[in-house]
Amino acid sequence: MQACLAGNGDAFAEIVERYGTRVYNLALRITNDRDAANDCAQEAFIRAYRALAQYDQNLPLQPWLLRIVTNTSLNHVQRWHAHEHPVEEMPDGAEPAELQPEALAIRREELGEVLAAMNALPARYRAALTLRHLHELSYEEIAHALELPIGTVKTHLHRARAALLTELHRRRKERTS
Amino acid sequence: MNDRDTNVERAFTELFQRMPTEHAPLGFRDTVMARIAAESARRWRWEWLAAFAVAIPSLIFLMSTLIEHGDELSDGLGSIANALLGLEAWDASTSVYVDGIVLLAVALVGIAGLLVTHALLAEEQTRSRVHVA
Repeated sequence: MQACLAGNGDAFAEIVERYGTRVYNLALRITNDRDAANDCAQEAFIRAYRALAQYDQNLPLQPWLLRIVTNTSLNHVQRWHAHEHPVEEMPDGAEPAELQPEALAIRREELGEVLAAMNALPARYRAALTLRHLHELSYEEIAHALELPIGTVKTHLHRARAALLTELHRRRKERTS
Repeated sequence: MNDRDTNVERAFTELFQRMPTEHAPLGFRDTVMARIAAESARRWRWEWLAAFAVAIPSLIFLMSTLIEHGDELSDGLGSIANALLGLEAWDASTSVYVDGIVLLAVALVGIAGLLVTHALLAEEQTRSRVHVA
């Protein structure tokens, strides 16, 4: 990053190369659309490039980039899919009383089901889940990325996990019946 | 956070780590860098256009003034040069008259020069960062 700010050739291209897949996958989880994810990921890097001068070099780069792509992707969802999946709204009956880790004993061939179940969640919840469990960001970093208070992030995450499990149960039931 | 919450967190993290990830599309990096270069070029183009818009009328005015009052200017400058060399005495003819509009035109040409300099510097900086071909 320092090299990039100092005008070192290829430095920003190297950042794009190194973080491209992570940024793209977060956009993909939030938008659930490969073309949109590609656009959002590209847009995120362009915004990052424009904002290089404001970047605090004492902070880690990855959360900063993930924050930018989260905002870009949520804006995209809000703009294009608000009528289908409102960014904030939870599906009906999405909150079971208990969360049990055993319920997550999922076989490899069922992993695709998890992705499909995630798509039933609001975009902001998908973002929170992905930032927390795929990119392993702290609550504070997620709060920063989503521009929400930490308490709200914890609530979002709890409800998102519960809703994901409910959706998985529903899909399993549908498959077995 | 109690033990059960911690276990739930861990279980979700393990699940998400197992989920398949996709590589960024082919040529992703090059597309990003090309878009950055194109955007920068657009910005420089505006600076060049603004510089031309400011400089051209001023330069035309200065040229016409020079054609119209060139003799007076050269006489005035010649007198000043001679006075400085001690060949002539300082008197009323040892001066150059410059009106406010001429000064304004010169200032506008200066501003245009600054814009062009900034565009060239920014262009060079971006070229070195993104390696525009």
